Amino acid sequence: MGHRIRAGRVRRLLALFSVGSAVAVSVMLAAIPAFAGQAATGELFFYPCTSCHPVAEGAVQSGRKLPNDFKGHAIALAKHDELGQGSAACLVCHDGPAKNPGKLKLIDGTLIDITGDVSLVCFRCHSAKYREWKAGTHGRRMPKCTSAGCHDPHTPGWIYARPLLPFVGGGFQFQVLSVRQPFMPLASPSPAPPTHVPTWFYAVAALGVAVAAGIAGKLILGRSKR
Amino acid sequence: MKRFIGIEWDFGALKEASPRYWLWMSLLGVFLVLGGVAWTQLFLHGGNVINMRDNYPWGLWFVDYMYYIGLAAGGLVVYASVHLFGAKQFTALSRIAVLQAGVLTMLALLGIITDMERPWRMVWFMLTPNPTAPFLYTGSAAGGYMVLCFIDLWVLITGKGGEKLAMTMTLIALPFAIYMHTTTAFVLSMNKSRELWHSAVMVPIFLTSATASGVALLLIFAYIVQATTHIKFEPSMFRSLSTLLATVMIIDLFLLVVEILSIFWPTSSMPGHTVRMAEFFTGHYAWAFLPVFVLGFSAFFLLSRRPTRHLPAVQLTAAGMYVVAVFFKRYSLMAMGFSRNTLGQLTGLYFPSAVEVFLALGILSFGLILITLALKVLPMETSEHAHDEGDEAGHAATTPDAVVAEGSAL
Amino acid sequence: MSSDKEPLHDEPQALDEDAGAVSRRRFLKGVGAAAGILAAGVIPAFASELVASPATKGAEAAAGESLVPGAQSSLARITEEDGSINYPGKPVSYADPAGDQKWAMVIDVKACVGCRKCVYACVKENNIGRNSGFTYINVMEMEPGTMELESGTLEYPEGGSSEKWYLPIQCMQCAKPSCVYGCPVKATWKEPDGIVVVDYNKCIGCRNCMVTCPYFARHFNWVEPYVPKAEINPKVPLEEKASVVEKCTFCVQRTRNGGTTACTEACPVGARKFGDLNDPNSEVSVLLKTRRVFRLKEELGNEPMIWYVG
Repeated sequence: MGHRIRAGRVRRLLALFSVGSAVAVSVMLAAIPAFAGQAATGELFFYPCTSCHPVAEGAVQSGRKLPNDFKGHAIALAKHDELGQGSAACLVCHDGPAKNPGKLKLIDGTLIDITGDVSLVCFRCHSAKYREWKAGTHGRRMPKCTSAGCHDPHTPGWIYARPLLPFVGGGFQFQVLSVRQPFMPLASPSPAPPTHVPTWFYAVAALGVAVAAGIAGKLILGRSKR
Repeated sequence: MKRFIGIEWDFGALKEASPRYWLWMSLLGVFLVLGGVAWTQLFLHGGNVINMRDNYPWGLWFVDYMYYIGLAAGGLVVYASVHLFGAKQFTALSRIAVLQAGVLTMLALLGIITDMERPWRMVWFMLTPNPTAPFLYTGSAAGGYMVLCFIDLWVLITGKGGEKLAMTMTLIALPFAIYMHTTTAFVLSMNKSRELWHSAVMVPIFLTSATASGVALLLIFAYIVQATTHIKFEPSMFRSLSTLLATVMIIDLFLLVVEILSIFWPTSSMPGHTVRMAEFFTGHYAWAFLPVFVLGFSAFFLLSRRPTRHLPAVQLTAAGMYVVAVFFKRYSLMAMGFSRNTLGQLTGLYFPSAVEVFLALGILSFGLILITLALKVLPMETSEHAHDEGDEAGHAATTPDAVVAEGSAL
Repeated sequence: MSSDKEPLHDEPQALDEDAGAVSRRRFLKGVGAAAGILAAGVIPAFASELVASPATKGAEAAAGESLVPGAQSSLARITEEDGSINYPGKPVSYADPAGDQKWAMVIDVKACVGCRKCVYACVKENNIGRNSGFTYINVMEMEPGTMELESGTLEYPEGGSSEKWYLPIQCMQCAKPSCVYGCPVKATWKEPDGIVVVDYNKCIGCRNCMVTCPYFARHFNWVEPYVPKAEINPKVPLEEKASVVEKCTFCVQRTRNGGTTACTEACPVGARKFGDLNDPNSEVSVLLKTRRVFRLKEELGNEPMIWYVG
């Protein structure tokens, strides 16, 4: 009898504890200004761009100090840092990282949560890539352009190079050739068509000028006689 | 002698013309034939035989268009001043001036027509004209002006309508001449894509160059008429003409200096303009641009020297220099629009091809043939009271002894 | 002083005395009449300026708003005002404009490597004579650090250079095309969907449009265009183009039928974006709203429809 009573109490305590901790954790999570979405990090992995180009994983690459000491933002900060001076670079994607880092800005100004479709944020600049991804010619584990080593997806004008490392973290590993051959632009367009005055025209004209000179001479010389 | 449209056409004078007259006509005929051959080549082969290309789409024909329009209207200023400003000393030149104006405008229009590879498409000018195109205004103005000049010549010769009609014609013709020049200048100046042309001073420059070159040509023409026909003018008329010429010449040269100063002055210079204009002093069009200054200022200098300016030789030289100077001015003006294309790239030197040159010479000789014929066939002498003679007008040149005198003079 | 209403006397003497007074007044009347004629001639040119003065509107738009949500106004201004320069010319034969489009292009000069694939694709698509000596697209190799066209060159050799930047220039299908205003016979006009077209049967070959175009976009067929038989595109005219002016038409034979331009398709780096300004979701609309763009020779006021971003 006491055994059952003790089990019932334990069960009730357990239930109380789990509910309470769930509440507490939720409250905690809700209370924390959700920067970098620690709770949501796992979900980002399922989003298309981030499957190869992780955004919030791995060691911080740049020497930049992130708010709240966040160490998980690895979106090639070295490159995206160029988007602006100081915190302006962060503001290109984030809507106020210090106060509201959990919201990201889309192309038309609407805000999405970082748990939303982050690829749409990548679309802001990399619209061609997004289009190609949607069409199936970029990523999707298809080495269509890269395995032949012809195309460098990050500096596409340059060929005969193995593709470069995209971002730190998951995704393809590529190698860089020591020497990159530049893409060969086509030749200058054709020059203006040449002028072809027929030779006989020159002959006729010369004859005419000679005759005219003769007549003119006669006119002038004839005058001086008088 | 036939009477037609109220004028006595003296074809008989042609029969009595001297061999020298026909030598001159055959000289012109040679160039006319060459011009015809050149035109057929242009017609058949199009752009293959000319040196114009995308980088300089307008060539010698356009230079000639601007030049002849200028010469035409300039002469009319002299004629108009007879009625408008009471400059009676120029009355004797009336018919000659109007003839010159009409024929030169015809030559300008011929330049456009021969450049078009499908001249019959001119009909679209009438069917769907575009009111914002300066080209339309200048073309229609030139056409209208030519008709106006020939009507004016008819009025002067027949004396119909008397002084009143002659005055009315002047009042129409002079503003029309100014309108024609303004629109020709607009074809150049209303182009924001061509820096050196896009200047308001283009219009006054056109007006003054035109008047100066037209008066200069009229002076030369008057001397030639005096030397080759029985028509005689007062020396005072030539002095007045050269004074007028000198005045307009110096205004023209002044405006040119103003334009160049504005382009190079530090507070107003813009790199696009200075780069382009500097090329005209030192680059491959300098041969066309520098003579404008040399010939222009020399001509003015010749005409301003009190002791010598009454001499026919001096007047003729100065007028001849200025006529050539304005031709070079028009040539370099066209080149100024095209020396760099709208992408800022240097274009090569444009020099007209043989076909273009002979076509232009052919057109010029056509005009000279018309004028030479007119001097014989039409009564070109204007007496002081010509407008009072009514039906009798024009017989002064056709009395038998006058014809004989013409024959021996020629 | 004789009044104007009195008939002129026939005696030469009286005429001489009065000639000065009467003729001066009449001269001024004549000049006034001439001025009236001139004014009547230029009023149509001014009318379009007075009716919709985009200069002032543009200044207001530029002063107050940024390019993000309220930016509809500057784009809307462009798309509402242009497209009305549609003369009663011969309609373009490929198709009528499908809907309410306003075609525009954005070129990314950071991506452009000057490979000229667009130039050649355009030549093939539009039956440009292989002997004609021009191409619709001209790619300028520019010095870094300047926008000055005089310092650039069209004649860079094969291979290009990684030190320079490249600026492709072609017909901008301007909203206020100076070529359309300058054509004396209305042989060129702006279609409602924004493309400036040329009627090859009307063009008189005066080449005035070539003189007024600030972008070197219009080309005259000095020689008869020759295209090898195997490469002729049946959808584009060839013989009609001899001795007339031609220009880029944003591949009207493709874009009116739902396609995109040949140059956009050919660019290997995706530097060209072609689309409809009236569609807020098209790439060009999005780019114009969110990126820092510039136009070539914008101070001339032709309102070109090709923007550059980089």
